[in-house]
Amino acid sequence: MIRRRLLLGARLFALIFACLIVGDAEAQRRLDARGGIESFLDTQWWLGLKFGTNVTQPFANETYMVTSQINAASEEEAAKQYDDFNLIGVQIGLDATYYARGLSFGIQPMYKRIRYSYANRFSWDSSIQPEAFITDYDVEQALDLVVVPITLKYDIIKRGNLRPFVIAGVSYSFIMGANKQLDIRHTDVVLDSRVVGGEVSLNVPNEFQGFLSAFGGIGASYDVGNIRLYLDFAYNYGITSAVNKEEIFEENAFFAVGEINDDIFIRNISGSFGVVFPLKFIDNTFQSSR
Amino acid sequence: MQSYIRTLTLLVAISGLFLSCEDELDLENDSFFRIYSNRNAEIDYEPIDIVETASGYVILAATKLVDSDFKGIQIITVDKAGNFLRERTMDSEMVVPTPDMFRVDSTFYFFAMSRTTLRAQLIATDENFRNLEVTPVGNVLYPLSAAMNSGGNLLLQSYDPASLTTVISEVRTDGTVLNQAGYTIGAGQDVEPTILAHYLEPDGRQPFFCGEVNPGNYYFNGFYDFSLSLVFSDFSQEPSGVVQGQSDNGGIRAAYSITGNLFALVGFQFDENYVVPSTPVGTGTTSSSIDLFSSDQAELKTGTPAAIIPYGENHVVIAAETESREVALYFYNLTTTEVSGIETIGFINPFTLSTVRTDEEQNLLVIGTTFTSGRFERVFFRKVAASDVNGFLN
Repeated sequence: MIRRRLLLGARLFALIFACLIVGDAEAQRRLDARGGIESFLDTQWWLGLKFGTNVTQPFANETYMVTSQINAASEEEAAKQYDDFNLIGVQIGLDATYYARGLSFGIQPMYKRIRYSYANRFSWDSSIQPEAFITDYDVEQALDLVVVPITLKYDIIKRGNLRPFVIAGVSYSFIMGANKQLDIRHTDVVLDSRVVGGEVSLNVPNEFQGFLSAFGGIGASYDVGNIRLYLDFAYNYGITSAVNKEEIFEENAFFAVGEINDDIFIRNISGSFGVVFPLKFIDNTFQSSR
Repeated sequence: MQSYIRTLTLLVAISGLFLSCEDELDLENDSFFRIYSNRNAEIDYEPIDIVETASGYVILAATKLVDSDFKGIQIITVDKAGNFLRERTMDSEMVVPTPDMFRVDSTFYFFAMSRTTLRAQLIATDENFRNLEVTPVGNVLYPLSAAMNSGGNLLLQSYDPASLTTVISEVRTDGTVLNQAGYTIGAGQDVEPTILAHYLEPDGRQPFFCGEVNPGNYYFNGFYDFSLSLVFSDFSQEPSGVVQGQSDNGGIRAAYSITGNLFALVGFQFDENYVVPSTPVGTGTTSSSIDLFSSDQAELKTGTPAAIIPYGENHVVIAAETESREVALYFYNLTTTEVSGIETIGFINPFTLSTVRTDEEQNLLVIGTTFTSGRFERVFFRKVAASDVNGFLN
């Protein structure tokens, strides 16, 4: 499944690249007709690296539980409590951007690791006292993704070294890995004892699926010689679910202890630093041939 | 600008490739796994049987009683997606619900025992499980197992401590005893403590069961002639055939009559377990269970309960507990007698098997218990959708 999606992604990348090359060739013909440095700077190809960190807010569209509560009062208690934007992830990738008259169109295929966490609690009463026994689950979920974003960037200021910009676009994230770590803690309130109930850590990529996101953000670039440095911040909004619903009620090690996924949409804030290099030069010193 | 618009249009079209229709969760038709949790730490459940109803499923379970050492009767109803609907614990006068539960049209039947008289009681109830009609069954004591025959009557295996016999009865659904025969457990034998342990102790359960070979010819697994034996009966004074066990150290744990005298069996000999998907059994002769066994099924737990049901036209499902505290389902092809697939239930927490059934859509229904947080015994219900089973059978 992952291989099939990767192949699809590779085809998409190749197609976009071909479209841009054709588009640039057409633009170049028009530039040649007008001539001059100004018209030469109207368009540019940029290629480079970008990397940064991110934080995630999982949004549970629908909640699911293995346990069906005979006591209705405890149903709410057993629901998962999600933490927002608390665990830091990383991303690193390439940036290929085509610039034309203040508007840039780019693709930034990258490896991205996102992390989020949640907890739930199960408790039991006895004739001795309520909440006689408590079991707490703490789950940390990491997703290793190959993300293919298609970005539209608009430079608010089009001249000078410092150029603030806004970005928007869509991205598709392919699931490469999905490590889930479950920590179980038991508290016997009557005996006043706390014991570790075990730790389960497994890679469960089948429980997740590739998902589509839309994103928007702001940033600024600064030109140093022929090199352009930039910093951007983006909010990614999951449009499709990251969870493979067909697998939610399939068995695995987590399932047997009552831990299953909700229907999760990923919301993520990322900050990235980029270094890009122009592929067309005014100074022919750096040209390979003329 | 035109090239931009062209490229963007192309990209929007391509992104549609990734937006394939999302699979919706349809638990009424898909496989699922449920644990029925109760936050009362002092309650235990022991599921007995599961039967399909018009709106879902009903689980017959035994549960601890405050005022009796015998287990009480509990009825749990769930919907088709396995969500808990209701539970009802019966008056504590009625105890030890006896496997199995039967459905005739919209009426459900099962046997239990009066804790004061120790007499078998036939309990009939409708789909709502609110009005329970209790009928004493003749002078039958200590009900042990039940089945339904092809004539729509019930078979009841019981023990009579006065005559020291294992009794097989054919009972109409109104509680009238049609046929009955008792077979000696052996002169001087005392199995009453074993029968009581079967009712009272989790580890004391015996593999009692009964069924039909063909109309008029029945079998039961119980105490006969100094051993735990598979006994064939046409209600004559003497059994028509016997597969003798070895005292209570060897014998049969589960049997299913595939056709005529061809049986699927799970047997045991001391600590070893044997799975025999298809073998002829002498229903009119006396033989020994040990002669039916070949190689030890080493992964099965010593003393495991077992269940056998037919699946499709050419398979049987044999369910048992493993040494690693999982429940294993073996799908045997009856033509080749080879395993077509194995499904296991359980990780981390221990799992026990109660029984395995199919519903009208041929979904596999497995019930048993698991220990939430490693200590609270709760009912689990695993439904394996027919499409998933067929996926690994074909």
